[in-house]
Amino acid sequence: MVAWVIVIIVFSLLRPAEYFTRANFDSLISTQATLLLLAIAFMIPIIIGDLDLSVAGTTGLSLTLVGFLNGVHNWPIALAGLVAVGAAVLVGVVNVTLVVGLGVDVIVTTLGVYTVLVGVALGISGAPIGNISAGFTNVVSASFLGLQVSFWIVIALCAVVWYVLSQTPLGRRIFVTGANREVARLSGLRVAGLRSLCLMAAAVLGGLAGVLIAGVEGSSDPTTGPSLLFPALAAVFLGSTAITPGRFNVWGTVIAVYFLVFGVAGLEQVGLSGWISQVFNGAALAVAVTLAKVTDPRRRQSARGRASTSGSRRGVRARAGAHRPGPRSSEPEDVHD
Amino acid sequence: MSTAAVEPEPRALLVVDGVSKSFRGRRVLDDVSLTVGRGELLALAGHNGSGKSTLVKILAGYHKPDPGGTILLDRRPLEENSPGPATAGLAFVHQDLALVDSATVMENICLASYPQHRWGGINWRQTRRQVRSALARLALDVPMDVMVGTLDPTTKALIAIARAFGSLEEYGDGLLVLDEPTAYLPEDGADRLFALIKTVCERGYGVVLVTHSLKDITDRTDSVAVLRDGKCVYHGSSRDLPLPVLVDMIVVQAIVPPAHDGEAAKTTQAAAPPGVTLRVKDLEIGNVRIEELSVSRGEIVGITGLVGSGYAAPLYAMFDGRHRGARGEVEIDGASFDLRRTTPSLMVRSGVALIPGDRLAHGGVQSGTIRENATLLSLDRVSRRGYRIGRRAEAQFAADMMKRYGVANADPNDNLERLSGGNQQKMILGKWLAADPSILLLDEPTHGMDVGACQAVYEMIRQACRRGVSPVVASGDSDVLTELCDRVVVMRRGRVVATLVGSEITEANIVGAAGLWTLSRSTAYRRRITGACVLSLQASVAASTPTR
Repeated sequence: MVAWVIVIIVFSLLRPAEYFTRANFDSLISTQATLLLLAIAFMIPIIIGDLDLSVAGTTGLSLTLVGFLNGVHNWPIALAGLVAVGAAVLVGVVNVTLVVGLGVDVIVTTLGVYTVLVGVALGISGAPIGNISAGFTNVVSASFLGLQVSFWIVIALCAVVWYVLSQTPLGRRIFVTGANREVARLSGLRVAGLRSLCLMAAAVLGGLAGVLIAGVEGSSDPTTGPSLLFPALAAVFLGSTAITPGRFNVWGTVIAVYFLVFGVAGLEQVGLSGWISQVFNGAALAVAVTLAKVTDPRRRQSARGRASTSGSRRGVRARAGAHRPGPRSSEPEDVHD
Repeated sequence: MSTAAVEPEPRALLVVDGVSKSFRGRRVLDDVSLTVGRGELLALAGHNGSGKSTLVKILAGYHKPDPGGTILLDRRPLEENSPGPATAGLAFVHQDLALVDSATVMENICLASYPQHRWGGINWRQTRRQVRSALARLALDVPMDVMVGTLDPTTKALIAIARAFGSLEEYGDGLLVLDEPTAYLPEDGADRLFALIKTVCERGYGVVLVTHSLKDITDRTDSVAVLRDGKCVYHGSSRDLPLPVLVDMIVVQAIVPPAHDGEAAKTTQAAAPPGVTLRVKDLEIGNVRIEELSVSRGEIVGITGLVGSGYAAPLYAMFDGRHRGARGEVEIDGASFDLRRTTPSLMVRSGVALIPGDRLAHGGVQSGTIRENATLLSLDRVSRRGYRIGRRAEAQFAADMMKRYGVANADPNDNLERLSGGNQQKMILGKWLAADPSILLLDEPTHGMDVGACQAVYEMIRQACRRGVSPVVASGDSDVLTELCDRVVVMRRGRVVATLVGSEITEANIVGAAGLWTLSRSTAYRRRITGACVLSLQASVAASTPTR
């Protein structure tokens, strides 16, 4: 949060004319809302302990489908969007079948599914497609309370996800399953159902992100999905260091997304281009996670627990949370929610 | 301060003098002084939260003591900023053993002394030789290339000790610190462990043993330091120490929590029909088979045996049958279930609760808060119409539970892992009891806990029983069985070999039935025969003498 404000101030001072303007803020917040939606889609299965890489592929596929059906074949936008989300549901079903049903390792499976989806998107259309219905793009980029509708749609979805995850018994069960799957199972929670739900939610939100991108951009580029994979994932992990440090959370992810977006935009306006976004995204993630680790007050104090290997058990927190939290994996959690 | 101060002798290996430690302003260790000589086995005793673990972690370099005290190891100050247990002349075995399950026995053992084997690469032949001799010293008959994860807890503990001792031997002198290794060991394993410790001591090393087993302290150690609320209340010989005196020194407070529902319990007890609530038929899991086992309302049933006899398996077979590959049938309050299809979620809905034996890994969510753990099974009760968790209702629920079971000095928003083992278990048990089960399955409910916490947990189980819950306790700890159970089923090699009721439940009977049966019976038999012969001889002599 603080870092985000600092980023804004620094670049505002460096480039007051271009950076510190309403138009710039509006465009950054609104156009990058789709990245936020994708990040939220990634976050949901990560919370329950499944790193679903295919989400970015789903987004790419859905975007390409909208472009192909609406831009090329002139289907009505609603129908094209419906088909795109339907495809996303299908991807979710495949993921659930493989990961939950057959018990294949989630990262391996979804890496495969992701790669397939990227290929399929390219197969549908090798080149970017323009001509998305003007009606749709106008609605999405219409101004509402000073920001575009796309942003408000995403924020509304964020609020729903936040409510479910942090305020309801369902969200609590998802958290517990992610923190310790065996405890969840032995507590009688339906772990398989919860995991399926999270994977499906991720796929649907990923698909919606694709539809929304079509509206925001007015065109569909089949390489969009892959280009969003890393920033979205980085934002999720970065977000776990904010608001409720140590736990993946919606508002932390929101802040993280905009921290990255504003940082990259600022650097580009200062004159660094292209390569800087990757360097900034990557460095921000590494630095933030390191800082969170170094400054975690629990690290030094909680060693009174009988599992005295606190250091080593926590060493892999981000990854342990992301892929398979075996019965023993634990994250250093802060708890002021 | 030690009541029986021991002068630091010049030969002392470890001298701890006036060491204190505070966390967030709370004194966990208060002016602790003790010494360990070469060849001495010092037991470190105290209830959970008394500061034992903190002291061990200071020795290990995880914590820095508050300024003021000194710690000398072999007359040199202990490096205060030592990075970890790598300090020369100190070796640790922690309760969780820190073994890598997916590595072989050999790899685990050479993990500690890794640098010594590296000249650009690992000298595998020498490693192998060293590991073999290390295992031989322990009389451990374990193939070196077996994955540690496939071994039983006893062997794992011995391997961890072998590894720690190996690093000490290379240095040639030093202190071995064992943090409750006996908690995992059955009687014969403990015998092997203490035999090894004796050898270690005889060769001039010092040993500090953190333990809850009071009998081990009085029977098998040289000296004992008792910590209570961070203070060292006794430091001296353990040889002539009567057990009750030791218990008195360790236990600090009233250990039985107030019966919050004493009146209600009595009426329920009177009202509850003494019917069978749980019946198991033809249960089969692994090599364990139980033809029939019934539990009636109002009785606490124990299942026991030696480690390896599979005494805990029936609990998991009932609760988690499908996952564990169990077969047979279980009847709960009249409803019958096929064990091939029982799952935790089905069982929880049918009113069964299981407190797993591995508290750290399966009991509760260590990285979740105490509050989240407390309400996990009662989320519907603290949420409005099942949709939104009421923050205040939830906080109240957790606070009530903590108060009821005497979990003091903790913030419900702290992570569960910050509670001591005993308090964790109280919360885990409380969590399940809050879900109102009719059957309560417990696997080693007091494993690794101090006397006070054990009593508190016993009382929780007894109260639940009075309210009409049927507890089934699997335990290898004879104290649990003798203090708690009305009926004890003894298993050996996967079969029920004896059922003890009421006053028959004694340590001797349990041990007798569990495995040392042949030995016990034959010696007893011999003794009885000899005695009988002597008696009859005397009787005949006595009978004959006066008449003649």
